[in-house]
Amino acid sequence: MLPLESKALIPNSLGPRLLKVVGLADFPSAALPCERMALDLRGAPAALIGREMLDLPWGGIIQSPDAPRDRERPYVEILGDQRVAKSGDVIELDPFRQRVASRYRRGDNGNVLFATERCNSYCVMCSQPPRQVQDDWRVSQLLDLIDLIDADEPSLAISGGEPTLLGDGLLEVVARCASVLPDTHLHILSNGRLLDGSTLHSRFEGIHPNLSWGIPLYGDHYGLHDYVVQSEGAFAQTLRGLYALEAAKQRIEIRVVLVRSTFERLPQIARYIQRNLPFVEHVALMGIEPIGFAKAHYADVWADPADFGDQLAAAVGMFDSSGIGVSLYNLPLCTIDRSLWPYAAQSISTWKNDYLPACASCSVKSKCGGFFSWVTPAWTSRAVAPVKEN
Amino acid sequence: MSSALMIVGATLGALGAEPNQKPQDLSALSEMDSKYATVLSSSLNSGRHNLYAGHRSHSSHRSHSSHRSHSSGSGSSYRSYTPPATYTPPAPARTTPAPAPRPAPIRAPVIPTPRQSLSAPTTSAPTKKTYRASERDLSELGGQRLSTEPVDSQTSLGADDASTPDASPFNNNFWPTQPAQPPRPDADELRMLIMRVQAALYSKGLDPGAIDGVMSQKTQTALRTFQRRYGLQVTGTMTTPTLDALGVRL
Repeated sequence: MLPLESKALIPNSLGPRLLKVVGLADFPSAALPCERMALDLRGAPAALIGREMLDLPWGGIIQSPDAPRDRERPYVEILGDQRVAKSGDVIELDPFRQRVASRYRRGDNGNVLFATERCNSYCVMCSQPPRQVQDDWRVSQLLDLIDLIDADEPSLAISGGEPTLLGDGLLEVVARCASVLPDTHLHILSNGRLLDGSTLHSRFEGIHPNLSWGIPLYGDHYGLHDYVVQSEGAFAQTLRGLYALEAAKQRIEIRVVLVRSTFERLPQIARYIQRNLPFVEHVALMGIEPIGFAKAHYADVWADPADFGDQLAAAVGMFDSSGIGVSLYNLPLCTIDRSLWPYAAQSISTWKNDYLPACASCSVKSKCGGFFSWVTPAWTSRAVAPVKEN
Repeated sequence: MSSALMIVGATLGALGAEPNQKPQDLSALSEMDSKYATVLSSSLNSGRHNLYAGHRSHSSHRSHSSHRSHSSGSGSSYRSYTPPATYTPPAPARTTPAPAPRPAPIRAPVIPTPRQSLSAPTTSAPTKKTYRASERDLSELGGQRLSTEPVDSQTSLGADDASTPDASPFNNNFWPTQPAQPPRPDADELRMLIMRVQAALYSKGLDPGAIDGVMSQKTQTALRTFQRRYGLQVTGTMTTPTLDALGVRL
């Protein structure tokens, strides 16, 4: 597991800022102005760097602990895990808390534009419990961040909280991505509830060349869905949101988190999607992330995939036969039937992805998505065991 | 078991025949690669005029005579830097030749044709004012002095052309700490370019000496070594093919 932030020595004069980390190998081709970059000199011999280089107007200079430094230059020393920043990443310097935080990781499969902490749902298994805070400031910060992301980044997610709560701010963020990162696939994770009855959905039409939506649906009936998201009327709103997105020619993925009561009705949910939402492009059936509200509701939400193999196979078969793409996220290979392995994706972001001791001797470990770093025995399927391949 | 061995043998045999297919494979590969071509690949500096190709040391700045008008900003931007929302460039203080309007950022990997001087007379303009580069080009040079100031094409490159310190509308925005420094954009840009080259040489395992923006003996030697290694013309200078091979943005 990679840390998201670390303690650091940051001169107070710097002020909070987002910076692109640039090592000596990336500096020759860097297109950003020095002010938006942090020169990474860790590991570079001191005699190599001339005063003229240090005198460039860097936004920051990341230095090893033993290196000489002076007060005039914007030196930053990372005190914790050095991997919190590497060349190509974007970091945020927080001089008040003396911390440096990772905001974008080059090469990571799970980079997120974090839109807001607010949410209009309150899901029983929420891994990122919402807070009702005014954080519209994130919009301008995201606009800044987008400029610093690699132009060849394959994909980004916009997540939260509920991103559509930003309203016009979300449109601004998407539009900036379209102009600065047109080749980067953008996936908005939203419950779709606010897309119902407003004109917001229509304004996403044609705004981005490579945009899709991940919308959760947890039941084939309002009672089940509204219970899981702990919000009355949510099922109807999400469905109207799905149709609104379809009307706006948006690409849609349905995300089904496999909490116990949803897992039990998975074939019915698959049938519901197949009959009522045939336009969706992809369905992701997702194991629970055991953190946040999920931990508090363990008894209500935990379902061992080993107990629901039939439901899983039936749902996958139904999607397959109706031409809707389907993937299994966060389900280790040993917990599902071999026939389902082709659908299993390595879905967990590298920074929070780990394997158990039992995986050491497993022959398919390299193909398996593994576990969330915060997995505990209670959240581990009884089917977990090394796979012996011939 | 024996059948397994036979399969392995057949596979190896197929591999053995590979050299014949190599050219095809390579072209197929490069075709695949081209889909992923990013800012750093082939055409990093194509369409840019390399002012510094002949630069050996500070004593020999004569390249300006060949420097034509850039017909400012013909859109050779591969990765346009969009300034932060709060950034509003003040209006130019000078009214003489206004820089051409900033082109809309072209984001797709468009390979621009070499710039053609459509407008400016290339030989004997009575006033030898030309624009050194569009402001976009300069901003891509890494955010040093952003200047649209006209440069007298007869002045030598490194010369102290410091007559109008506040003529550039962009001077004080990105260099807030050193506002009073006389503008020597060419020297600054040259130093920046040499530092980029030195950093690239160092990253490729060569020894350019200190990264200090000075074209030292060591740096020239490293350049020559690099050029020899990459089958480039061995000049010890920063020719455009050398910069491209080094991955240095001009």
